[in-house]
Amino acid sequence: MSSLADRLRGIIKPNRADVVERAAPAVDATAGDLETLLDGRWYGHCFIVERRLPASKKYGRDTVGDLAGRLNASASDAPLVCGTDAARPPFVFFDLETTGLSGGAGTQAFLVGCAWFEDDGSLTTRQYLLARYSDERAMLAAVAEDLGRAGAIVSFNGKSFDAPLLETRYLFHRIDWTPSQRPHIDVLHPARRFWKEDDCSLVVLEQQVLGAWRDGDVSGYEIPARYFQFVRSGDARPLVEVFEHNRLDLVSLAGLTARLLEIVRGGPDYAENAREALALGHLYARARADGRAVEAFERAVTLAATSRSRRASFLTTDALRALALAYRRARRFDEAARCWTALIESGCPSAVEREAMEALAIHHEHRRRDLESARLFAERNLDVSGRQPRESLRVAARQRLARIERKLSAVDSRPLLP
Amino acid sequence: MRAMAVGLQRAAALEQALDRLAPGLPVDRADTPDSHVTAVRRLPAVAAQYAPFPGALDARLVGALGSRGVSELYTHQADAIEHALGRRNVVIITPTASGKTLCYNAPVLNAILQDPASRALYLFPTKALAQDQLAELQSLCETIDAASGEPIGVFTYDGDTPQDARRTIRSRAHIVLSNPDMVHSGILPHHPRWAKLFENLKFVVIDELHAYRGVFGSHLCNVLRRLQRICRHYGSNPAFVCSSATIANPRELAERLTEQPFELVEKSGAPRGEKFFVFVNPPIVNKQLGIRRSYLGETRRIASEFLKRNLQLIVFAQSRLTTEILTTYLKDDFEDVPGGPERIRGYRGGYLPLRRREIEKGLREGAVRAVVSTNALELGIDIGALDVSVMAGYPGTIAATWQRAGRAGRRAGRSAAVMVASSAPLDQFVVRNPSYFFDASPERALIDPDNLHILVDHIKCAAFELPFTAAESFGRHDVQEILSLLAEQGLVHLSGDAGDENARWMWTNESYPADAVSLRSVSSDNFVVVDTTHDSRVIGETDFTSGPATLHPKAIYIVEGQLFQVERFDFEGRKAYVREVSCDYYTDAITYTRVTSLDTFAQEGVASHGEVHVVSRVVGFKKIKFYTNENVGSGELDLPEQQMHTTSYCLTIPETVMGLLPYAADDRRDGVVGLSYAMRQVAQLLLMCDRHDIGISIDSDDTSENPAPSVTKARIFVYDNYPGGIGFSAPLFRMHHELLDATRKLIAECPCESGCPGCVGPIGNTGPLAKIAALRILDLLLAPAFDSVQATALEAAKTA
Repeated sequence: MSSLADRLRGIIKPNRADVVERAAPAVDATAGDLETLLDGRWYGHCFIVERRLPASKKYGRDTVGDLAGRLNASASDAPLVCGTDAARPPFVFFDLETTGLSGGAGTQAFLVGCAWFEDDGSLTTRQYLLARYSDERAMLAAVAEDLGRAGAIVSFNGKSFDAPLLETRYLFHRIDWTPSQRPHIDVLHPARRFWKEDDCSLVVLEQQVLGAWRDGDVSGYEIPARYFQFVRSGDARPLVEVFEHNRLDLVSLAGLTARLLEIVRGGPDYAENAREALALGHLYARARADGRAVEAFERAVTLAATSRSRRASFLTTDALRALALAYRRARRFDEAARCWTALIESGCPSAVEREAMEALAIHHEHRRRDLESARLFAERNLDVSGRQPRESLRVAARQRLARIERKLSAVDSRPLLP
Repeated sequence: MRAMAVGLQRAAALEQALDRLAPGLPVDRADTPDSHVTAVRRLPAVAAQYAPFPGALDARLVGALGSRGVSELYTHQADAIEHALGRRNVVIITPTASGKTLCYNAPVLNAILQDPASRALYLFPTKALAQDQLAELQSLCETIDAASGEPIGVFTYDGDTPQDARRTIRSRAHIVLSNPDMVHSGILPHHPRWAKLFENLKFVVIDELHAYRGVFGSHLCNVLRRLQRICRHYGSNPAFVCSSATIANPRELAERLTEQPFELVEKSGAPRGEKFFVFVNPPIVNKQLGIRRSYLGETRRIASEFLKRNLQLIVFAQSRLTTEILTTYLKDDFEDVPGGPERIRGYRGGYLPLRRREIEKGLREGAVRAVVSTNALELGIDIGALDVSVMAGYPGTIAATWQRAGRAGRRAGRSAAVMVASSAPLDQFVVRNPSYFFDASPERALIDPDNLHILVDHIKCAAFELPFTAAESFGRHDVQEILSLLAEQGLVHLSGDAGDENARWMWTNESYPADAVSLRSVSSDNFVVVDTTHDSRVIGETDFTSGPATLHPKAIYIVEGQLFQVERFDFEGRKAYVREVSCDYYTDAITYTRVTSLDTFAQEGVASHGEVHVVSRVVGFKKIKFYTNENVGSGELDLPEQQMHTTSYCLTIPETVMGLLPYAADDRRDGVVGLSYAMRQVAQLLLMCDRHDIGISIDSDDTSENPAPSVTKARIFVYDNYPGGIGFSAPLFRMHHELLDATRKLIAECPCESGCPGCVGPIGNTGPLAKIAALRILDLLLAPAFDSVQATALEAAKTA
């Protein structure tokens, strides 16, 4: 042993995670092991595992064919979710498994999973494995082809994680990253609004929304170590569960997308609860579909009134406020005023109350030209604004009240007799 | 007219103040080592030397420079630009205010004008310096754009750059102004996103090259190895343009840092005003004890003389602590002047950036009349041209002294620099031998990029950025062997057979290795100082290594003369909670250090060189009264140890030598302590390094708690104060004889009777016989017959 090695051993300290990993038995494996274990095939330099879930197969409460049907039926409303008019079928779902979360040139996507529905309602999943370092370029080229023919790519948190990471790999190999030109639907953000704010993970959503349950799923933090173990030993066993995890993520992503587009397409009647209706209204409002937004918010108000959710009062406030704003945008001022009044009566938080008073003051001053009522609301607005931290709000409230009072006194000072 | 009158007034004021300090100025005079002012040198004004623009320079650039009043170049600028245009790497030695930026801006802008795809990367040692250059470069680019419609993007890219601006900068910047730390952790690991820069990189500019010595330089060399590796991957081959303050080996340093050949431009064509350089040695107040008047008091007196005459000055102190003490003293002197104390400011690392920017601006605009600073203002931060630079203590190196003196001085008109020596041996040597400073060449900057700690860290980073091939090299050591060891730890894995040219070392770890490596120190850790007087707010920070010594419980922490006491030191949480206090003392930590030898690389007689383990711990502190420096109390502390492995020079004083000393055990020990005190200073002088670059420790078998009756050997370690060593101990080992000779000379020629701070240390630290015992040890070690004495001793030891 050279003295360099001795000195290095004092410097390069083992880290705990690796010790744990090395404790697992390492078995030398042949390439055949990979193929039989994962049931995949080599296409040139690409190792691919492909599966097909038949239309009749049950996934959670529905069959795969049902999901395909809903997605097909609602595809034309995808632009509402995506924000770009170009989003259209075919939808290609994608999800990566990576060697780390930090990004940068040394973080790789070792598994790229893609999925799409076939015409017969079955779902195909195609998973690319980076089996050898030298194969990355070929793998990326093949993936670009799959994603490149998508009318829209669909991911879960892909806009902030998967797409930039994949883009770095393409830049690394200096291959054009064509999928960046494709419309991208990131289901995470609407999912947060429709279904769950805290712990909005795929596994939680698939249980709640699709009624699907997984057994013995591998946890995310183990995944890179399992891949490294495979790289070092050639033993593909640790990867079996990683492939299954990725495949289920793809199926659930497809299912959630189908459900999401179904609600968007079907409108307020398809919303199962106030929360979904409210999220739907916001989605329409952002897409400038004002009429549909009003309907969705009206439904949200109705559902919230009968909701037994512990968040019912929050939902009521949110729905009424959103509806008020939607009415105003649609120039339905009297209905908007009724919403603001209802808000005040419902005992909403002071920030919303301030907004309601202000809106009612404006409404009475400019629309109804009822200066006395306007003054009443302006006074109460100033009163509530005193509890707000923002100075500009208090200033605005004072100025409004002063202006209304000036107008009132102008009214008063007219001579009694002409 | 008015400006001229102000200039004349200033010259007269400066003359008066200098005349008070050394009557009879301005004239050249002989050095007088024994008087108060030991030397006065006049550096005459130098006229400018001009040269035309090189013919190859783009006409649009020449036009833009012309419209900004630059119609010809100084000779050194023309030489540097010629080399860069010829794509030869060039390093320029530039005095302050000699127009160094044009030396690199001209070839860079020329390249961009000729091909708008061209890119350049500028590296500055600090974020502040990059910010300082940004405005000037942007305004030159605006002139070019206005005249020729060529927009040139110039951006800083550092830790302060907002996330959402980064993408724009990556795509739009022709010139990126950054620092080595950001290149290391923010750019290289993300090189695919910077592909455009790396594909088209024409120039890498390294400003303030001399700043990259020791640890920082050794890291930078490795960052540049990584940078050049990435450039090769993208098919580019940038030329380097470096600027440096005066050091002995600028070309060698540039070549070691970049591992490329360099041209050197060293003759400045810039004009310079007349400057006086004065050496002051505070007078002896107690001849017997060799005690001189306090150098801080002397600095305060001299600085006040200049301030009273309304001259603007900078005072350099040796440490953060002395900076604060001097700031307090000067503010006190001008307490009665309305607004006086506010116009005297302190400045050091650890102040928050906003406060620093405010002080710099005040200096440029003249609102701040005096600033007391650590070396933080030694580098080229723009603080305008000041009248006087006063140094409290010798800065430790010739290069740093010239650099600090250069902060005073205008292109025309008179300026002055004053160095006030402390009683430290090195200061005393320099102030009593002025020609050592004025006539000798400045220091060499040393780096050791192949320090294994540093190298291994950067190999991890490089492996993350781009997999190594099985044939690649990186640095002096065998990178393949290092990679094999990293593979054992699971950090990398060789994909393919070692003989295969397609085989690659893949990074097989989830971590982002650059995050764990700080270029500035051993660890990127720091302590923050939280003031809890009113509500909680952070008022400063301290690096990890000096944290325990400055922020221990009950320590007095000073910010611009304001005193705080540490109430709680949270070592784990890396925080110190302080509260404002009013008291008349400051604290000085007592650190206990123990060195154990691990391995010997080379041995020659009593000297050796090897690897050691250093454990240091802050065990207590002294309370020291302001002004009188009386020790007014102390306290014990129980703080965690800090440990490192490093390289060391070791002097062994054999039992035979100790046995020949006709003194008691305690006195023998005092002799060893005194010898080590003097050796440390001489080692610093010979190595031309900074005070904190080396550490010293004695390992003696007889301790004071358990005085052994028998005579035992003693060892003195002079170690590199960085994990893994940074290249000082090997040269010191080679200079062993010089070290002992010069140490003997320092002690023997000192006028004190039995030891003083200028030789073996103050009497209070050592015993009355320290000086004579130290001399006796050296005499024995240096005696021509010693080799045979030693041989006999070794024989005797074996038979016993």
